Amino acid sequence: MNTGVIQALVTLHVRQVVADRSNLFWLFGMPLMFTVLMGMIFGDMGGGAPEAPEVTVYDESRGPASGALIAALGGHENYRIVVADSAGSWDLARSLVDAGRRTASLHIPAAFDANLALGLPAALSLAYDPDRASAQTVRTALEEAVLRLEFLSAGRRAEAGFDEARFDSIWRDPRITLEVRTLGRLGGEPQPSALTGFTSGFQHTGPSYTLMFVLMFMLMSVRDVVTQRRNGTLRRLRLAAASPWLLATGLFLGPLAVGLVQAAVLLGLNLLLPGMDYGGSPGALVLTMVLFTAVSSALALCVATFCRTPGQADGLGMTASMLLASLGGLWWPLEVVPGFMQKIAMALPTGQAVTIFHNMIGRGWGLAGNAAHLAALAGMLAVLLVLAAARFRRLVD
Amino acid sequence: MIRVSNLVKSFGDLRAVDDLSFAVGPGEIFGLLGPNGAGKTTTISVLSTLLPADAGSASVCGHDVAAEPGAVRRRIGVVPQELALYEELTAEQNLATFGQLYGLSGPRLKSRIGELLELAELAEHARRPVKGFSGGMKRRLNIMLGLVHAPEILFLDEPTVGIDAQARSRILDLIRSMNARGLTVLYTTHYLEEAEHLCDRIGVIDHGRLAALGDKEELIRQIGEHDVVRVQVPAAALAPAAAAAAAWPDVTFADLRRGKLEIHCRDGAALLPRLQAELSAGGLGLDQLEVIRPNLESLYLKITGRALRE
Repeated sequence: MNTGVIQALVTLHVRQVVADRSNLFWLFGMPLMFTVLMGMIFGDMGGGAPEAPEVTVYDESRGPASGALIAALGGHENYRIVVADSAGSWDLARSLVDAGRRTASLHIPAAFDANLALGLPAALSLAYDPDRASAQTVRTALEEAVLRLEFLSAGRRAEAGFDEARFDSIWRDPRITLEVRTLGRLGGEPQPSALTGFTSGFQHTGPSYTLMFVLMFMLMSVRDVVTQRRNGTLRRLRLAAASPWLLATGLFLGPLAVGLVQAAVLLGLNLLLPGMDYGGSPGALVLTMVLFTAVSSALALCVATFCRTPGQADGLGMTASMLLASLGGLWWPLEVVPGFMQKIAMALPTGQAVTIFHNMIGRGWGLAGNAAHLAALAGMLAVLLVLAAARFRRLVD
Repeated sequence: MIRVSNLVKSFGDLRAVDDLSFAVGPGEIFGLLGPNGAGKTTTISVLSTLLPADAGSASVCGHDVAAEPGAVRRRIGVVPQELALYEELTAEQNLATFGQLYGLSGPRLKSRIGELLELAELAEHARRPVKGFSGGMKRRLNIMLGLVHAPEILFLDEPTVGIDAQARSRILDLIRSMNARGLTVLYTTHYLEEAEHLCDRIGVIDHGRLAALGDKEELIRQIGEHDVVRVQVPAAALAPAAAAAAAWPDVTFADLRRGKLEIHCRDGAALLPRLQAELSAGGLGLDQLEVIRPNLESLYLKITGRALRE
């Protein structure tokens, strides 16, 4: 591999991008503008103070003890108690916490009241995201409420005075046990089929608009390749670069380099937005962006081989970027689209990449949790590279 | 430096290059003269390894273009007919890009860029985007891009298309100056006067075939060393005038062509007083008179039966 030729071709692309100052707006200004604007529209910044996070209580017991427990939990400004109408599914309750839609879920089993009345042990289940302050408050409040209930169910009023012996007995052998499951980014097992949700609009628009504008700028560069083909510079490059493979590699890596800089700047600036972070796996973040940007660059090279005029390049490039962005869930969260559209999204690089971001941000998954999506992106890259190389060789030979 | 032997290249049913053979020596400016579609660009594409030949062989600097394309490319510079430039980049950046692609870097690249910008008289515009250049400046830079790696041979494919006479003259001077430094040039054009004034030897190409080859004098000798005098006289006098002229000494041909009297003679200028006197004696005047010295255009007309720009 002639690295000098590759370096020259990458430098050429960078020079072309930098030479036109308006590109700075398309690379950075426009994406940031859309990220902020759409983030405000999607939530958290548009309607004044955000609502308090919700804690869902599934009360299957529906007795005085469970009622007292729920009453004791209420009244906090850090969270809001939502009692589920039906018993529902505990798995669903957990998945809502896991997806970041609830700060915690409390399950009160059907036998809770009866067991307490009979002096038998009674269990409660709490699923919560320990990374959220409101969830910590819930846990503390619940432990206080449980203790209070122990005293009440033991026939002693808590306010009647402190009975150390009784407290010791309850402490050592509590009848009410609290089973706690930590979910969210610090806990829980990966469930690849589940789609995640966000608590902040920026958590969606930050990564998804970065992906969209990286893809869009890349597909806008299709025009450059077509123009080079028409004005003879591609032939000239072909003569100088010696082999079509080397030339194709350079034309693939140039936009990739610019795309990675664009992604790094945008993802970095996104961190200034309220509620933004990318989870705890820099490896997954970097690999996702490298793979997605490479897929975009290979796609752009591929599209360029199908276009004869700059007009065709503009049309095809814009259509491809719009379709991939909208179908892949970059314009709106995939959770709001029907199931079959979610399946379509998974066949697209945009859908795979945005899902990885959702997993990183909402669930805290890293490389292992996102392995399937990363592999899918790598597979798409391989297919596009082979196609682009074959088409490009026919174009220049 | 260049040896082409029975070269054939077809595109579907079109035989763009048809059994072409010629050779170019070191330090020579060789012109391939022919109308659009004659096969000039295809010939250059094959010689520069961009297109494979269907038959025949070609070598450049002793390297076969099919077997050793890499070695050929390192020794040649190609200036395409199009303005193959990056318009948004500066002249300096354009040269740097192609210099880097050919493996130049650091002070060597910088020095080469400076040298070429001086040669093209573009030094003071080095850091201006090319899109602001005049047509002539762009053409000169286009040539310099083919020279950035100091090739031994330069292929110039109609490098003066679409520019004014002054700019063209500067480019021809530039080519002469590069040739004086030892560069061998293969120059294609459909401008007769360029081929006539610039090239040491000329190959006339039409329909992919080499129709004539030699230096200017050799080519002109191929059509015979006579002048052509065309005279417009009143219609009634045409036939008698043709008969009279045919009898004059030194006249090899006198007859009617396209409504004019056409006379072929050794010295057209010397014929004129006699022609005028004969016509005056018959009470006739000259409506229009044209003396054509033997040149490449007459050769081309003779070979192909059509004017070069048709």
